[in-house]
Amino acid sequence: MGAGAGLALATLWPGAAHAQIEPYAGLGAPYKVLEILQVGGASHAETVWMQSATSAAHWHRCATIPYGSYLSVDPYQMAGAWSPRQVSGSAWMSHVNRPLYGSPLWSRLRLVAVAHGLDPHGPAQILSLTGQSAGRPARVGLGAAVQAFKLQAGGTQPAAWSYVINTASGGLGTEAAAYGELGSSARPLVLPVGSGSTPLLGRMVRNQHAAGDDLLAMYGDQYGARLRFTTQGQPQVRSAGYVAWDAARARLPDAGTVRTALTSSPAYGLNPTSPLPYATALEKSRTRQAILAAANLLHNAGAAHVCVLDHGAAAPYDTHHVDDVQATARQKHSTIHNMNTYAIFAALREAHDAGILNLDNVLIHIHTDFGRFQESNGSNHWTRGFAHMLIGGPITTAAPTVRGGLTVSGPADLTGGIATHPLGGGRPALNPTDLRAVTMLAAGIDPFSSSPPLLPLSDLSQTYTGDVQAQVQAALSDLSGLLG
Amino acid sequence: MSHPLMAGALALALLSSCAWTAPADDAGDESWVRMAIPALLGRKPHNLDEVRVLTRMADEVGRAAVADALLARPELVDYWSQVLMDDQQVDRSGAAKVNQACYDTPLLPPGLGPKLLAHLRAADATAPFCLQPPQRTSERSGEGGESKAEETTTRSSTGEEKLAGQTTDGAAETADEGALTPEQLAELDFLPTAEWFAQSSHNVSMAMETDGAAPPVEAVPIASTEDVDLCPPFNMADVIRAGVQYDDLFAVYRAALVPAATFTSTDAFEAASIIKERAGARWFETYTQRDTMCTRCHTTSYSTTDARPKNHHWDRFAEPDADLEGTAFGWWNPPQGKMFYGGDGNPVVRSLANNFFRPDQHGRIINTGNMFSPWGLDATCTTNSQAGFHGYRHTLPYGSMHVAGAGGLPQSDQYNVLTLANVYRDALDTFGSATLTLPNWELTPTTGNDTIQAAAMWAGCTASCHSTINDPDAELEPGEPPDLGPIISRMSNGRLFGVIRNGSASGAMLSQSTDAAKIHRLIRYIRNNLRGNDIGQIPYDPRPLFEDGSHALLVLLAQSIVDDLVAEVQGRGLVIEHGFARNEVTLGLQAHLTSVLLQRWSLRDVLREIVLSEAFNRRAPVDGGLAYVLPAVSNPWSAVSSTVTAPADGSHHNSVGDDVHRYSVVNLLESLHRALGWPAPNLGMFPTGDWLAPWPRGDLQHDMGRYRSAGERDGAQVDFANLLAWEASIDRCTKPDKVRTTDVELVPMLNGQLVGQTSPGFVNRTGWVDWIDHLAAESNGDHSLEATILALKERLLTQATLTPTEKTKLATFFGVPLGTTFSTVDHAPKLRELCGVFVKTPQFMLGGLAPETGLPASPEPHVCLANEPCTEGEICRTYAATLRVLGTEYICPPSGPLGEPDPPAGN
Repeated sequence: MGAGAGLALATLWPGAAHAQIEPYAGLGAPYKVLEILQVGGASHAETVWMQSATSAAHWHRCATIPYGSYLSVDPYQMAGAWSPRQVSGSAWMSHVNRPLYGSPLWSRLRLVAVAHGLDPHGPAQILSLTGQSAGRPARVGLGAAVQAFKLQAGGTQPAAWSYVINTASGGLGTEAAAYGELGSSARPLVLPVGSGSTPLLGRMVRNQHAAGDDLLAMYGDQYGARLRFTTQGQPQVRSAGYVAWDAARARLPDAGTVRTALTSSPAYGLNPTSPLPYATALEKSRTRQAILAAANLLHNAGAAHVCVLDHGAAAPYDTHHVDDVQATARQKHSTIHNMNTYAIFAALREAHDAGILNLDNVLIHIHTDFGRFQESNGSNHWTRGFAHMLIGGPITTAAPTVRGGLTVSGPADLTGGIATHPLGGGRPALNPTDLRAVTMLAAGIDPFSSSPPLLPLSDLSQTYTGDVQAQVQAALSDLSGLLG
Repeated sequence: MSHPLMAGALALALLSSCAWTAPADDAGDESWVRMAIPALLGRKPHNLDEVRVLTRMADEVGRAAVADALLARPELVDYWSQVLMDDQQVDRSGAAKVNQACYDTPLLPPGLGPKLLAHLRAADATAPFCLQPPQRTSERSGEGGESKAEETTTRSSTGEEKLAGQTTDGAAETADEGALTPEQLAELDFLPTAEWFAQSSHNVSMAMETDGAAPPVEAVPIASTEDVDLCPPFNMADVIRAGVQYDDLFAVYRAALVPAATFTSTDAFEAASIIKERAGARWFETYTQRDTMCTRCHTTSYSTTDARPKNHHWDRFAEPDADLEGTAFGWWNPPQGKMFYGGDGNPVVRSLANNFFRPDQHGRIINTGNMFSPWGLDATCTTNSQAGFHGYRHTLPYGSMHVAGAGGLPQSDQYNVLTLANVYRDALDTFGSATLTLPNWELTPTTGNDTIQAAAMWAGCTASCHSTINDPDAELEPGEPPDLGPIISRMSNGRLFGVIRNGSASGAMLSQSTDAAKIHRLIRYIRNNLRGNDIGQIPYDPRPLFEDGSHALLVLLAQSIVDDLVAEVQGRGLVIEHGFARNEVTLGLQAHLTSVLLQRWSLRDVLREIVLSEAFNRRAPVDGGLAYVLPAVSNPWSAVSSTVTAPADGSHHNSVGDDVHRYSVVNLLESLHRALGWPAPNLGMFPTGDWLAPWPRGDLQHDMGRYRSAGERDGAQVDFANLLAWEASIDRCTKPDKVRTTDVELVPMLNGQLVGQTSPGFVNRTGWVDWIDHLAAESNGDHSLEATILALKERLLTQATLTPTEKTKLATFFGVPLGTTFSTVDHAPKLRELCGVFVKTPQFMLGGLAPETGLPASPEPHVCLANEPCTEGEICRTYAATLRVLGTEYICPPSGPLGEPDPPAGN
């Protein structure tokens, strides 16, 4: 226990040594954040932001697909009479909402229309995770920001304040964005549950003695000393590779603590031997494992942030063409996206019902690369308007359910819609940088006040004028308003 | 020595000369030796004596000679074969991967490597690999004329050529004729010649299995062509190992195009078009170092970071000297239309690349029965048995009708991957006479379609990859106008087109409706006519351009290979995708190493230059000392120090820290096995051979960062999860049950004496013995705990001193003072646990900075293994013998610190 206290604020955190990350208290107590990135571009037009309740064409009769082929048991009766629900105005959710319905997850849900112009997956994922465009190595995901902020505050915490759980391997750029680009001790602790990884929990039962860990730390110090130099009277080490090793080493003794946190709740999450209520194979339950693990870490391990990189419970999100006739292709596409989204909602509901996901202190942020639009034999990327989801945290049941809009300029079942700003008036639509700033605010972090700032003002959707302080204040006001 | 390929290579080398001289921050010979051994051989130094000997040699005969001696070690073949396989993306997570079966157990008998490589380098794919009846050197030399293949062999088998020039007394020209006598074999124990193959562990193991017995190493016969089928099948396992052993990477990469054509997916949802795209993308990545996603917008002249208007510190970059991409792909003039270089022709290029792997060309239904095997490759390399769905079971074209001849690409769509193979071959043949010319900036598209395509693409890019839809120049601070001068100086014409047309924060120069042709005229006007005003100050820097696009393609391949080799050694490549270096150091090193590779396609040549470069062996900051300025060599992304003002030239302080990286998974596992005396690890080179047991598990390699995705190499950092995986797998250095034990077994020696053996030199293959157990047994009652610890530390970390703090902690760890006499019962379990600690240390796991230097006397007891030279004298004589074969005379000292007898005369 307590080895987290040994994690020094790394010099490789951009600005850490000379710039304080300022707290933000405008939303009251900071919330924990559970973010889920649907890696590959999730279709919102067929799942969470349908254009109407009645047009089955929008989601291509996915209910005709035998869900039993994916899920042996459907605890939320998804395969029954489908029941899209109107969220607000023209925004509807398909039957993937069933796990949420009847719980605070539904009543504290908010859909936000977002747009950007990044068509390739990699840059889009990096933008969504960090709020910054590709090519900026100092960009960091929310987890790294939270970890650095907590380290700066000097608290003690086993293992980490922030975690990243990846349900599949691949996309090192995306992983790097989620972890933080530099090898700083501010990197979140990474828990892979993806293909090819042996069960992590097994490894967390370490066969090492404390004296061995103490020796290892000493050899690490010996090595690090050769990299150390003194500047302004302070020792400093500039080596991402060494700092990454040292951060990993420092966390080893906390493996048991993390394991306990993951296994002490009824919903075991990462534990592959736990009873699975609706999935018959591990392959189909990674999304569930990851989300339940995330909830456990937030609830039991003192984590302040967990990012789940979800690669799809049923199949990868990035569905383009399929080797089938058109109708079947669309059905498969729709099914995949509905199933994947459903699996996320079902796991969130399971965690909530198990008492390990308290929406009063956790904000859930579900985001993705971009939306999708329908093509003749599948789907393709759609960046001009799609949905992010925020659930819980500062969002109350009395608050509006939808922010912004998605206008349709073409055939309703072929486009994803074009995003509009919540306030209208010709304002440009919100973008992923805005949403990243919003989650930082919820986590109690001011994204603009350090130097260099965690997020550049110029990347926000809105252009502000005046001196920098005035711009910051205006941005904080606008962004915090999105959570009200 | 003159070489037919030298002319072109030297021409490229003129771009940047990078002759090695010891820089001011060089860390010294001992540090260099400690770094070079794992970098070149994928293992740790065996002991302090090996470091001591090589350090002395480096001082006396130079590092280059020592590097050559290391490059003659047999470990090189195992290690770098694995690295090349990784580079070719044989085994990856998920469904998409290169045909693995082709990389399974080697099929050829030992000794045929040079002939195989000569065949693959020069022959048309329609010609199978067949052997000539054996000829003696004297017979052939008297014939007066040689076949084309033999000419090619002479020209291309660089290792062979080198050996012919370096060995003495009529050394054989080909491997199967044997350069050295059995006595010399026994003396050297490893050879810089073809005999390596006969002694490599994998082949010995195969021989053992075949024979059902365990012949001694010396008894394994070198294959004769009389013993094998005259047209034997072979696979990529044969090709890669031969390519590493006999130093011909060109043949490897030419042959690898074929299994790449069967690169596919087992995902039943994927269409043939996607499969084709994946294969094309893989070729694009591996052979041109271009990422198909990034190249939608980024061209040679438009870096993936471009010249940003604001200094974010990490925006250092340097332009490639040669316009390779534009030359290579513009030259092809594909049927889709003339390429608009600089704007964006990459959709065309990508389409072209993908079409080399068209299923309708490569995807003939297997049952047609009309397949042929390019160069005689085994059917496992030409058929993807995993793709049994939807009829897209790939085979190669079923005849020679689709194989284009030399002279460039055909203008129809009747081309395929074998066309590409011939393009490379023909480029190599003519590269020596390649001419350089000034660039042709007349890049304005000649057709309306091109203009439209370019304009449309750039409109998308400007509002795409690096900005939001709302603010195309979002990286500028609000209200800040861009400084176009430095931007334009670095811009391609196409990028300039985008800026002019789409505008910037200060407003578009021209309206969106402006005719593209006008913009192009403006660009030409800017480039050529505007002098004396702001824009006219923009330097116009003509760069050399290869006239022949195929030569540029060849250089791209060389650059790509070089970058992967550097990445393996230094943890990251010299450039990011697209060939862009981030500073002058990496740019120069890239040009230099590429020119070296182009000369002979020699792996060893490149590796030698890497470890001799200024970037390799830099001094660490002294504890408590002051920062010192270094060029940012390894990590262009590294943020500058927040507390030390960065020099204006883009350097920053103590960037040697950026070099520190986790060794690759291959390197770590090879190092672990060799240090512990375990048989060679099964790392996936031969993933399905039943003669290999499944350890280390593939999932360990995945967890450690290898094979994580189709397009990514080994991730090179330690994190919590992979450190846990490493710890759990090694635990207390007890050999996992599944580590194969039928290979050449190593027997522990203590103080130069074999343990449990009746005669020196006998290698026991039946009873593998754990040397840690033996160390404990030998120490029991005879040595102190401290002495035993030092023996363990020397073997694993090549260190044999203990600091006061270390002694205190070790005493706590063992629960007794270190002066206590070692007891097997009381201390052996802890000794094993200490081994588990040592292999997790940064001294073991991290490269880029030599662990603590210092060469105390070798401890007593002293661990080394049976097939390793053990004492300082033995080690010296072994390396001296190698140096002699390589043409450098080195006289070992008459006696070493351990007082061993003088070496035999002549050494």
